[in-house]
Amino acid sequence: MQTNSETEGAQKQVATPSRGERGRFLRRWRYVVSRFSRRSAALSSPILPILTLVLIVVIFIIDTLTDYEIAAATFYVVVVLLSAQFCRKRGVILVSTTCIGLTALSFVLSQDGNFKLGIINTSISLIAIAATTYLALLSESARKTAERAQAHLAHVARITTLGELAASIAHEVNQPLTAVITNANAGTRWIRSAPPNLEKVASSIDSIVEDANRASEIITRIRSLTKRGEPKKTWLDINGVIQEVLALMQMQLRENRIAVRPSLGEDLPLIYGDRIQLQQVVLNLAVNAIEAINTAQSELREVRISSGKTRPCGVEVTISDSGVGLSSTSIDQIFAAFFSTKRDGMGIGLSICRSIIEAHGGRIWAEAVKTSGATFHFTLPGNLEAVP
Amino acid sequence: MSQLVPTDAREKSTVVIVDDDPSVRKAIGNLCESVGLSVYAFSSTAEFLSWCVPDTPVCMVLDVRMPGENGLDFQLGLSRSHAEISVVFITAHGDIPMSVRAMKAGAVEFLTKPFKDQDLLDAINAGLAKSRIRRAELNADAALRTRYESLSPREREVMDLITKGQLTKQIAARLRLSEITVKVCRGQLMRKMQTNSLPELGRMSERLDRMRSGSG
Repeated sequence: MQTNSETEGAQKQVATPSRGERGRFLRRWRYVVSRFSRRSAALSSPILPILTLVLIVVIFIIDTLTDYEIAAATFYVVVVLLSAQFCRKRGVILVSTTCIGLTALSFVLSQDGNFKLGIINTSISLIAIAATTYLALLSESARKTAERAQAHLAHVARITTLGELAASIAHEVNQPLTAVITNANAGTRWIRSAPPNLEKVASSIDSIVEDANRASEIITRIRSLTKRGEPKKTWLDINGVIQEVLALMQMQLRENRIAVRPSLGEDLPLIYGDRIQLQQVVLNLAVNAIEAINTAQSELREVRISSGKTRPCGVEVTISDSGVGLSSTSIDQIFAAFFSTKRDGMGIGLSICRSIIEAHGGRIWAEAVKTSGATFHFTLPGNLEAVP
Repeated sequence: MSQLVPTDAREKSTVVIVDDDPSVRKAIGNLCESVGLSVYAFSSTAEFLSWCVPDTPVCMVLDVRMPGENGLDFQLGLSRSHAEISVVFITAHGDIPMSVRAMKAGAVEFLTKPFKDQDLLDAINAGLAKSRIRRAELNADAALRTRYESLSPREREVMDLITKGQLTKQIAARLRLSEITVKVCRGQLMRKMQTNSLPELGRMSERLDRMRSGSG
């Protein structure tokens, strides 16, 4: 997991905290790892870094033992390319600097062979390593730009669709509403006229009923529109849902240098629910956590996700962040539709979360962490409680 | 009913509603009828244009956004073909540029749905009053033009010179006529123009000039 344990930056961090602040040290450590590692600490696999490390050692030994003329150091190119698979920009630069240093060291340590040819071969190796590093970084930054553009586009598309949808709903409902208000006013005028024209009053009321029905039909239509994806409920493991969401969010977490600390309970009861809807809930809470951390610009950048059993046989999922946190007033309103603490928030995410969780027979609530950040909990009934 | 009829509406007047939404159309019609206004409703501007506009003050309640057409553009065309019709705009989502454009083009009011009934009725009454004044102006203009057209070429020439401030003597010299002939001619044209004061004749001439430059 600790990808570049041999790097200088990491070693500095190992050396300093000897005052028993274990929690603090661990957090710093994860932060450092997350800065150098491309994936978040929770999700990276240790195979590639270990392979790279082994390769470095092997190449160094061969390069040192063989004659000057044999440019084994050229194979450091492979190391650099491998490191680009799991490192960020700084990591790749560090690995390549290490390789260059080791090449020079091997040259100094090597005793046999033609010294002149050795210098030429070593220079060729060094140039090859430098050129490879440059190209790897270039392709890395191009890939990053493309990913960022894609994420931005998806976000914009989502916002505009929602905005357009809201505007058209507002317009559709506004028309019959205008008619209801106007007819009611006209009805009042017909009553107050002398003598009151009861026939007209009755027809005004008929129109009001008609228009109010039309407004409610529009709402039914919108409901059926959103119902198109009828929930497909199956028995599922909530940990699977969490892991799928974390896999989806890899890039976003990496971009924001946020470490995820999952502590998923074992032998949890199965949940009877819609996988996609529950993924949406977890995703939404996690995206909110990232945004809260970014807003707070806190040094500690981590999201904790845990799952556990509740009595008698349900599950509870907790997601907490080290972000801006919640005020006591907003905690009461946060699940209401169109309420948002974010400047450009739509106030829809959490209200959707609540409706999904409640449709699954569960409960969702928020609490403010004493020091900093916010915590969201939701519960879902498990095998015995939920009747399929 | 008669008690609620606004004083302005006692004279015969017409309210025209153009809105693509049937419930809104019906509701506004109902509201206008409840205060004794006579109402005609149309679902599109095309339907309105095929209708014969009655010879009364007319106020149009016009929806800004209808399928396939823009109420603001229609208003511009209407101000040329039916200048006597005043327009009250209603819209579901109005913005400031839209309302500014409408008011600049001469709209009476720009209301956002849902509106207060009294606001709409006030706007309609203001529109009818404006239409009434506009109609009177147009009628007076038409009458004036008829009177002017009944003058002979010589009388027109004389009228032109009189209103430019020339004396009978000067006019006679210029047109090579005797002073008596000019005086007779002046009497005749004053009778035809139905006035006996020179300042009023001057105002008529100014008005005719303005109409000519306006139509040209």
